[in-house]
Amino acid sequence: MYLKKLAATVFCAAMTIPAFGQTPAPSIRIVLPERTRLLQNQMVDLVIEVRNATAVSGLTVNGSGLDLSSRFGAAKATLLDCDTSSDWVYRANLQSFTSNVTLTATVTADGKTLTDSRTIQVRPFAFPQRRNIILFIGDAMGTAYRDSIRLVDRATVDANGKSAFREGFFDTLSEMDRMPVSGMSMTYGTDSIVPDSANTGTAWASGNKSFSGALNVFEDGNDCSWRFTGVNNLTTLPAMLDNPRVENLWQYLKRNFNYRTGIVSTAAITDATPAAQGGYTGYRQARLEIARQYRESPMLGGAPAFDVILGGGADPFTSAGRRDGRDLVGEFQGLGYRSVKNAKELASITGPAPLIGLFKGSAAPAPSSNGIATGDVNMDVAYDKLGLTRPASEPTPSFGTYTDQPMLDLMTRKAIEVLSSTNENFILMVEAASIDKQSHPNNAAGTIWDAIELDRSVGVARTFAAGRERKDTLVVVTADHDQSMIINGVSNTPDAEYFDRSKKSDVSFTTPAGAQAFSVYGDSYANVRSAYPYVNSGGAPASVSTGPAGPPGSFAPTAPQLTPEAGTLSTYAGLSAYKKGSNGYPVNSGTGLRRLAVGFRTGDHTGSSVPITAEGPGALLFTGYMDQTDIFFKMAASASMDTSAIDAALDVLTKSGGFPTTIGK
Amino acid sequence: MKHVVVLLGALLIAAPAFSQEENLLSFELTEKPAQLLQRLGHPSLIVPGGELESWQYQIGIEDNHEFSHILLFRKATGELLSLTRNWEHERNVDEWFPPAETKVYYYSDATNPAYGVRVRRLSGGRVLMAMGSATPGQLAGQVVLIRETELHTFHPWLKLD
Repeated sequence: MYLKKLAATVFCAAMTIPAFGQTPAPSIRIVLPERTRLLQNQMVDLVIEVRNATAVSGLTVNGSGLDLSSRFGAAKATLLDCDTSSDWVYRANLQSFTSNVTLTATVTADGKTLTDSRTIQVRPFAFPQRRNIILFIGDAMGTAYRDSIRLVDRATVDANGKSAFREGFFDTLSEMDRMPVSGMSMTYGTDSIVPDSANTGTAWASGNKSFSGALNVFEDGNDCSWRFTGVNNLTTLPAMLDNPRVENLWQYLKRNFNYRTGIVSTAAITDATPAAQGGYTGYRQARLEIARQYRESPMLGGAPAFDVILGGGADPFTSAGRRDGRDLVGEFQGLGYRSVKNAKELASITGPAPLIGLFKGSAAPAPSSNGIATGDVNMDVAYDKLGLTRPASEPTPSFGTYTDQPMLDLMTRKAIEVLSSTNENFILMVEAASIDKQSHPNNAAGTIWDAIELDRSVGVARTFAAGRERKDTLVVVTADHDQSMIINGVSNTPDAEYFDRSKKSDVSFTTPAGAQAFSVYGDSYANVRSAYPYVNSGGAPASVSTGPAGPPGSFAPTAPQLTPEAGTLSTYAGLSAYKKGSNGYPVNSGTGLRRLAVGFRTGDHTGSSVPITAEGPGALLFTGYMDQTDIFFKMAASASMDTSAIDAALDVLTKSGGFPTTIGK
Repeated sequence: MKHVVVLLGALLIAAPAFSQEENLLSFELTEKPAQLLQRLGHPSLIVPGGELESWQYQIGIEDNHEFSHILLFRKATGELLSLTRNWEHERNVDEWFPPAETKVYYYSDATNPAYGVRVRRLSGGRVLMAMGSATPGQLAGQVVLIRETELHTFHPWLKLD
């Protein structure tokens, strides 16, 4: 108790260090990160903040010998830092550079001359090789998630009982496993080791890091009015939209090189990961604004950001769901877009005309009470679309009227078909969103089958790329961030226990803040949820547990068994043994099934690095550890540079037969 | 000394989290950071900047889009200026806004139609606001508890009668 009080006192003291200096001196700041990196002609807002000055004048901005002063508008009186001092902001929107530049800004503030400088590294992008880029994002797909694809989808047993996973080897690895180049991506944000899907998307889409929730913008001096307070609504929307913007690769390639662009996601299509390809806002949940920016991109003079939009979340595109009453789907149709609403309609799409497909929405769309969003309606997960029965602890599906939602591989195939139907090149992002969305509530089955669905989609892209006469398509697979799933082993729990919702063991404990209660179902051996104490049932099924808590290993029966593989409880030993259904996906039921057993330590993102795999021109650039922002520059390099030497080297390594190869690859 | 630091860290991490049914009105906004740490546990994210510091919790939120509780401090004094409560699913907040004690204010600008907020003055110079919820029964996704003296800084459009 003494120590706890001491800890509190120490923390309190840290918060109460007096501020020295009565009147803050005027200061100037160029609002760009220290390590800003751009491509040649990639646009960025230049913003200069002057603090604690009653009057400012005479702004000059030089960039490596070039006078940029005239590009800036007049000083605007602004309240920065949520204090009472007088502050000013100068803006020069959507500027770009052709080579490395050091910006130097000088201003007179209350009679004093203030100066700040910032160096921007600018990479050349002068000789595009006319290449396509397909980027797959498994949201939260860390190493364990990739492992789960292999251990479920590639470990199946055929009708003769022969397993494709024998003696520790797979006959065939997953699609993403078979890509020739692998690396690791560090995902840290500017404000946290553990990032979210917005600032990680900003990293690969724009080449720059930012704060949690930010989409292609940098922090600025009035973020305190909403980011610090959490007051995110119409009253603070202007402060969310004035952050310095940095153009992402999708608009950059469209604007400069006439690329066709696309986004595909099983999330609401204005969710953070797809929005990183077309949204510019400090607050990822400003969904109405993000949808508007898809229709009239600020980087493209108001033209649409994408040629293909496929996903969930119809609400912010409907007049009923928007405060401004605009029918964005209708507006897209007026511009020549085709609109589809289900898998059947999508499957019939042919030809190059642009396409918008929104496959799930609310029954009655309406703006949220904050005035800047709508209901957040994601597509249903692969496990449910396949008609599999959820384990006892996971929620049952609720399709509503959206009973014919496409699988991600169909969405991917159609997006590629539309985008590649002209002579122009294309860049496409495909996201499997519910790997993350099902991990947050620790739904193992929902998570794993969504990862498998993504792998099928990767296969579609690999087949397309391999079939190109000119090898002009780079395929990259990675994650935005990790989550906490781990591979525990296998579970022998029988179906009667695994699916039974009527049997459960209620667990509760009391904390000073109140009771915490949850239920343990029979599927818990295959899915150790983060909230569970590890129940040692002494050999009894988990759903009738009465034993004391223990570590995961104690799930194994405490009494010796001569034939543990025949037991009905988890042994965490042996190999998984799924069978394929008629749709080609593994079935999560059946007599004698040894399921993959996983666990979750938390229900949230983690700060672990995530795998990245690549195939196609420039793929070798993606080897080794890299920062997530490097993905942007490596994709750009693949599109713009002559990579024939490294491509040839990779072919020698993987195809000549002279070097060792991986079984199953 | 090293052991003390380790124990301090362990105690802070082990501090209890919010109850799901916490009573927002029980926050006086006079609580010190140390008291709040003991009461609420350690935040998921701390955002420092200028004279302010924001403690952001994610309790009972599964979609990771919002923080559930945001506490705003003035760093130099440790004063708690406001507490913002977000819900993943909008809810009825009428229990905290009895009509006799509640007034409605509207924000609007050139591009947005009126946006209503129910406001209730509480003891101790506190103000409770149901953001975007102007009438009884209208659901809210966010309620803000703030010192009235801070309204002009963080909600400059809102001029209480």
